[in-house]
Amino acid sequence: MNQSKALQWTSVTILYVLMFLLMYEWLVPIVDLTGTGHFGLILFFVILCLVTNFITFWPSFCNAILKAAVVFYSLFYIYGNLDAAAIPNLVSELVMSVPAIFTGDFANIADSFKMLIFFALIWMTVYLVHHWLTIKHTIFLFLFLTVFFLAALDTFTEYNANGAIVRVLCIGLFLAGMLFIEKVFIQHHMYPTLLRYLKLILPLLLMIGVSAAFAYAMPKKEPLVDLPKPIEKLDELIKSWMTPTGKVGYVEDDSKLGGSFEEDHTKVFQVEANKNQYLRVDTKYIYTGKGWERKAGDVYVTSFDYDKQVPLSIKPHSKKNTSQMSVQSFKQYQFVVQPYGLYTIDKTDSNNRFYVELDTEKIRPTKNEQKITLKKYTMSYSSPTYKKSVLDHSKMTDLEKLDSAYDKYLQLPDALPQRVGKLTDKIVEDEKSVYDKANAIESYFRVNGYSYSRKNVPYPSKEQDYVDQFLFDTKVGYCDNFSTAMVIMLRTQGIPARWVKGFSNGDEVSKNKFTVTNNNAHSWVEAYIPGVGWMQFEPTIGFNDFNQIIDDTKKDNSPSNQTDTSTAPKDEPVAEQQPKKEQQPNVKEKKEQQNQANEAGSNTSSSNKWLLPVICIALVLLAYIVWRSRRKWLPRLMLLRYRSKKSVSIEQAYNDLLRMLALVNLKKRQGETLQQFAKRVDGQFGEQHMQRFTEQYERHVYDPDTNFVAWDELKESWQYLINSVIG
Amino acid sequence: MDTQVKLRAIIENIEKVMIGKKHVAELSVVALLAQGHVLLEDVPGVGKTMMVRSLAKSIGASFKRIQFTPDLLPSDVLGVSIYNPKTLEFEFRPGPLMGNIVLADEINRTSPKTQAALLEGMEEAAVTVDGETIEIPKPFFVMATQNPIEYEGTYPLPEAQLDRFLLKLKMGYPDILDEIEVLRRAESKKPIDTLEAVVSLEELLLLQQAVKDIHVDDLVKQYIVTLAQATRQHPYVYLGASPRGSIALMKAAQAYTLLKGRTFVTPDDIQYLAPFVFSHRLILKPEARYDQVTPEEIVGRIVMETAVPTRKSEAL
Repeated sequence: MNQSKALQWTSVTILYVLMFLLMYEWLVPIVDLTGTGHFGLILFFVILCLVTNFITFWPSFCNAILKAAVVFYSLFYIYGNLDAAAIPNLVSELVMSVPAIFTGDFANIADSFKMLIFFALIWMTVYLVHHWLTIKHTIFLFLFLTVFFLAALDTFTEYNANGAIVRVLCIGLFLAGMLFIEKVFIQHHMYPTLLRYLKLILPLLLMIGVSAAFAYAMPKKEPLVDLPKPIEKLDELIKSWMTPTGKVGYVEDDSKLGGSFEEDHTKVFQVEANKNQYLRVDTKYIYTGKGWERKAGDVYVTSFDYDKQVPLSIKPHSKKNTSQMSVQSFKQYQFVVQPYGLYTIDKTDSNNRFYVELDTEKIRPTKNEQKITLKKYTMSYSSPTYKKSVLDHSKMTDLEKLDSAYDKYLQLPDALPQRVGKLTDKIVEDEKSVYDKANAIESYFRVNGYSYSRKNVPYPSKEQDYVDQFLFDTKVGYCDNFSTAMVIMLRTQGIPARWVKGFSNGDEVSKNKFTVTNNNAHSWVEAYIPGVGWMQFEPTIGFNDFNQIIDDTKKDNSPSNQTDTSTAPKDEPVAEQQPKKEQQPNVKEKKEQQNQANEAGSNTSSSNKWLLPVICIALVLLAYIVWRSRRKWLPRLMLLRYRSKKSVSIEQAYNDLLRMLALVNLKKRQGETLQQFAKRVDGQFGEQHMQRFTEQYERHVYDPDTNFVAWDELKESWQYLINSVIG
Repeated sequence: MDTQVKLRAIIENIEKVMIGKKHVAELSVVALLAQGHVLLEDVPGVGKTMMVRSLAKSIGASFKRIQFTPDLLPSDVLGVSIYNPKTLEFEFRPGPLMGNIVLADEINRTSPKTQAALLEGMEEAAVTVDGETIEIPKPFFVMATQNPIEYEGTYPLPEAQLDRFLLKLKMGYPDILDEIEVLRRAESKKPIDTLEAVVSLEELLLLQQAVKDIHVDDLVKQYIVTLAQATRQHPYVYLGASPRGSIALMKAAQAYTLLKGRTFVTPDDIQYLAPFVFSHRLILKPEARYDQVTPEEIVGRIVMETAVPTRKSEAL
C-alpha cells in the first residue's frame, strides 16, 4: 500500500515536472521578447502555483492568499525596491491603470500593472493545466498550442525555437503518453504497479526517442515562403493595415507622424483659470522627414523648486500681476502642463521638486529623484503679449546676429524636397518683417485648398517626406501636419522655429472651469521673432489665432510701458507690463469655442455618414423583428387593453378578434359565413368558443333588436381565442 | 320553444318511415311552413310517395294522390260539377287537388292543359270550376314528382311554371347502411301505418303564421338579392332567378330558421337553401350544357364567390 502511494506520488510528480518544462518553454520567449526581466521570480511563481495544488494541510483559500502575497511582494520587489515609501506610488499606479484598460489607453498602463496581469495569467494557466492533468487526463490542446506558439514566434520574431520545438515535442509526447497510461489504469480498473508502469513507459520512451532521433536526422526543407522575420516588420505591417485605429491623445513618441485618429472624449485635465488657453507640454526641434525626435544621449535639466520662477524660454508678461491656474490631472502624466507665461508652480508637497528638460522644455515633477505624477497643482502665470510695433520692425538681418545655439532650430533633413522651400519663398516674397513672413506662412493653409481631417490621413511612404506629402499631395491633415509644415517652412526661410505639443482650449463646463480631453491634444508652432523672442503660431485650420498682439502702432507711440528685462537674457521676449491685460473679450472666447464645436461637429458628421445607415438598418431590422413577432405580443396587448376596458362593444371585440386571428392566417373568406368561419377556427383551436362567440355576434349583426348579451358571458370564449392565437 | 318541438316531432315522424333522408324531410317541412310547393325530381322507387304520405300523416292532413297520365283532364284534377236531380242544382265534386297534401306524381306526363290547371291551383290555392272559385282548404301543399330519366312522351314543364315551386328536391338513393335498414323495416309491418299525427292542422296554420314573424335583416335581404342578381349575370345563365325567386328564398329561409329554432335568418340559411330555391329557376345557355354544368353547380359557385355581408357598414 505504502509502495503504491509512493508510486502514485512519483508519477504525479513526473507529470508536473514535465508540465513545468512545457510551461518553461512558453515563458522563455515571452520574457525574452518583451524584455520583462526577473525571470527567476516568474519561474518561482510558476513552481509555487504548481506545488500549491498539492498542499492540502490548510484550506485552499490559504493557497490563494499565499500566491497573492507572493505576487504583491514580487511587484514590491521589482517596482518598489522593497522601499516602503514607494508603496503609495505603486498603489496609485495600479489603480490608475484600471480605467486605462477599459478605455483602451494601453500606453497609459503602468508596467507594474502589466506585471500583475502577467502573474494572474500564470496563476490561471497553472490552474487550467492542473485541471487537464488530474481530471481530464489530456494535454493535447496545450501541447498543440505550445507548438503553434513556438512556431509562430520562430517565424515572426527573432526568437529561435529550433531547440525548443524538439524539446516541447519530446516532453509533450511523453506527457501525453503518461496521461494515457493513467487513463488506461483508471478505465480498466487496473491496480498500478511499478512493473506495469515500466512495461508501458519504456516502450513509450523508446518510441519517442527513436522517432525524435530519426526526425532530427532527416533532412529538412527550407521554408517555401520568406516571411518578414523581425517583429518590427510585422508591427509595421499591422500599422499600415490598421491605420485608422489610432486614438487622439498626448503621446511622447512623435517619430512617425501620420495616420488617422479616432475621437477620444476621455477627460484628461480639469483646469481652473480666468481664461481658456493653450497648455504647453513640450517642444521638439529635430525633424527627420517622418516626424519629430529628441536629441540622442543624456537629457540635461535645470532643477527648480516650487515658488521659484520656472526657467523657460518664454517669460511671463509680468511678475506682479499674475493669474492663477489650477490643474487637476486624470491621467498618469509625469509632467506639468504650462500656460503661456508660466511664472511659478505653487507648493504641492514639501518633498517635491521640479526640473525642466532643456531640449524640450518639459517640466517634470520629482520626488526623491523619481519622476512622479502630480494629481493636482496650481501655477501662477502672466500671458505674454507682443507689441505690433516691435513685430513690424523685426528684420531678417537681426536673425543673422543670433547666437549659434539657435542653429538647431534651423535644422532641415537632407532629403527635404526642394519644392518645400520654393513654395515658401513664394509665400513670403512680398513680406518684409520676420513676423509678417511667419504670419504669411501661418495663414497660407487657410486659403489654398487645405482641409482639416483626422480621417484618411496616410503615413508618408518610405521615400516621402511628411511635410512634402501634406503640402503637395494630400493637403488633408490635422494639427501635426499643419504645425510640422509651418515649422519646416519657417526654417527654409532661416527663421528659427520649433514644434510644440500640448493641449488646445478645453470645454468650458462652468465659469472659469475647463475640461481638457484627449480630443484637445494638439500641436502648434513657436517661431523666434527678433525683438520679442519665441512666439507661438497656430497654422491649423479651424483653430483660432493666439490673441497676443497689441496694436500700438496707431495711438500708443510713447514707450511708456516699462519693460522688465532684469531677469530676461538678451534674447528673451520683451514682456510688456500692461495693466489692462485682463483682456480676452468674451466674444472672442465664444467664437473659439464655436470653432471647436464646429470642428467636432464636422467630425461627428463624418462618422455619422455610416452611423446613420447603420441605425436605419438596425431600425428596419428591429421593426421587422417586431412585425414578425407580432403574433406573440399583439394578442397580449389586446388582452391587456380589454382587461382595463369597462364597456366592450361586441362589434369591436369581434373585429379585434378577427384581426388577431388573421395573425395566424385565419381569415374569413369572401363567400364564408360567420358560422362557417367559426367552425374553421374551432377546428384549428379545438373547443367551440368561436362558434359560441359567433352565435352572439351573428345575433348582433342579423337581428340587432334582440337583447345584447353581457360581455362577461363572452369574455371567456374571447380570451380563450386570443390566447389560442398566442399559442 | 314549443314550435320547435312540434316541428322536430314532424321530422322525427317522417324519419321513422324515411331512413337517411332527413334533409329532404326538413326541406319538405320548410316548404310546407312557407306555404310553398315542392318539385321532387328523382327516379321511381326511392320513396317519394312515402315521404309525402308520412308528412301528411304527421300533420293529420288529408292526403291525395294524382297519378298524371297523358289522358288526364283538368277536371280530373280540380273536380267537376255534377247536376243533382234532387236539388236541381249543379253540385261540385272536388277533385284530388282539393286535399291538404297532394302528391302529383309524374307531373310531366300529362298534357300542358292539365299541368296548367294544377299549377294555377297551386299558385292561387283556389280552383275555378264552371266560373265558380272554390278555395282549397288550408294548409295546402303539393309535392310534384318528375322522372328525369324517361323523357319519351313527356311534356316538360315550362320554366315559367317551374317558378311556382318553392323548392326543387332530389331524393337520391339511400346509402348502404340506410338501405339495409330499409330492408329490415320492410320485413315487419309497414311503419307508415303506425304513424300518428303530431301536429294538428290548426297548429300547422299557426306555425305558418309564425314563419312570417321571423326577422330577416336588411343585411340578409341584401345578400339574397345579391345572390339573385349574380344568377342573372352569370355567363352560363340565360335567364336568372326572378324577384319571385328572391321572395321564395327569403320565405324558405324564414321557415328554415323557424325549424332550426332561431328568430332571425342568417346567411348560413340562405347559403343552404339557395341551390334548392334557385336551381330550377335558371335557364342555362347551351354552352353550360356542353360543359356539363348543372344549375346546382352554378348556384353553388355563386354562393361560394359572393361576399357574405357581415357588418352593418356593408349594408347598402
